[in-house]
Amino acid sequence: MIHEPRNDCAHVQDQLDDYRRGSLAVPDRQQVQVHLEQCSACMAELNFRMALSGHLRASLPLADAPLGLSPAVRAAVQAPRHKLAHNDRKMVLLPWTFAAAVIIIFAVAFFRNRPEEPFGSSNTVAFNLPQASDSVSGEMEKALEAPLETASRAPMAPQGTMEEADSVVRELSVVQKEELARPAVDTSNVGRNQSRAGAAFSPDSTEAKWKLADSRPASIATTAALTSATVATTTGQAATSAPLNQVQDRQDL
Amino acid sequence: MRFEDIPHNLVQRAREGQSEAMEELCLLVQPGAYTVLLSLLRNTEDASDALQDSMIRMIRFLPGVRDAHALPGWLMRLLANQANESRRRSAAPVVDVSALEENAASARVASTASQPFSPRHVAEAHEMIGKINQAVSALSERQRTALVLFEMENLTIREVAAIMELTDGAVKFHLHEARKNMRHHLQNIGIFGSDLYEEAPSR
Repeated sequence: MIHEPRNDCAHVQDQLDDYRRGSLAVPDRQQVQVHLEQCSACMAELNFRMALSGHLRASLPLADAPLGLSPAVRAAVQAPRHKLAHNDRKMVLLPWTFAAAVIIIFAVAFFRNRPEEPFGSSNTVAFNLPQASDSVSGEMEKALEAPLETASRAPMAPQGTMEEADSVVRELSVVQKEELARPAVDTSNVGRNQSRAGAAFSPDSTEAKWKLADSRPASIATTAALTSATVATTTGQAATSAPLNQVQDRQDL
Repeated sequence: MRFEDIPHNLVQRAREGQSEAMEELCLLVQPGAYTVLLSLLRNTEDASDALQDSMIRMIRFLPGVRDAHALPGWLMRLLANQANESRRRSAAPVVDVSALEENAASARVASTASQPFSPRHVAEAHEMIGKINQAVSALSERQRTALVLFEMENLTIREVAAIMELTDGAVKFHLHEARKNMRHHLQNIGIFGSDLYEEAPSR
């Protein structure tokens, strides 16, 4: 590499820290040295930086770190903590994610190819949710059990299957509501009778919750399947990312 | 021990929740963490309090660290944030002009072979050390953090930028401003040119 000679002071002073630390390439170091020999201003700047570094170190109180851990730190060490490492959590959740994906694919294929049926007659298949593994952390179980805001029931709600849908959604964490609002599959081919019941469940405060379902069995099936996946992944991710996020939130530099 | 030298398998075992590993990790991290906090806070009492808070945060949030390689940068960021939080909690920057600084002054003067070890020299060094710490404490958070991490922890601009979550250019700016302010303070109190201090040797 051919080094273009740049002896201007701004460029040299920009390199002074690397020069002090010995991290400049040989040609650059030689150029800086030549400049310093000829420029008293840059030489003064170098001397100042070196002196400042020395003053900062010399003025540091000569205090040793505490020996051993304080009682509060020791208590924190002994306190029960989530035992799984981040990568281990991913490995635990991976099979469930794959299973959920398979369920979604089959559900989409099934409901797209079936004939139109009146709403409410074929929803029972949607609620055979996969059970969470026993190895899922307590944090995920807490997230699953967290109560949701529930919509008031519309008088036109069909009985039976919609109540089952309501109870399924209640079991989801508040975090999952946003997941529900995003339709995972195109359900536009489901029968038109289903949209009537969906319209009955759209108070403003709960519209997002029901948006995907739109009172369609296909949506409920995919919602349930998607929910099992998102619960397995999102809650686990929230459990692992929350601590770091909390640290990062505190970083307001 | 530098944070980079902490064994990765120890960090991993601590992340997995092994209490013995976490305790050992804390003992390894504590001295270096205290030095960083003392450099930033310039006050032993605040540094001790911040150290305890930092250790507890590390214990709580270590499982969220990506892997053992990320620990040094993550720790430095945690310590810098903790130091800033400690300063904000304090009513005013407290500069510890105490026996410890006197010890620093004594040690500094005694180590300067060309100077006679006299009470006057110790007193003058003590006073100047206090003024240096006051000048550092008077810097803004970002200027002080950039200056201390760059000069005392010997980090690169890029490393400081990662810790402070700023661009390289922003760090350079804060470093430049910190040096300018320190020069102004120290020249006002006549430190540069004092015969008590030898020029710091270049690396």
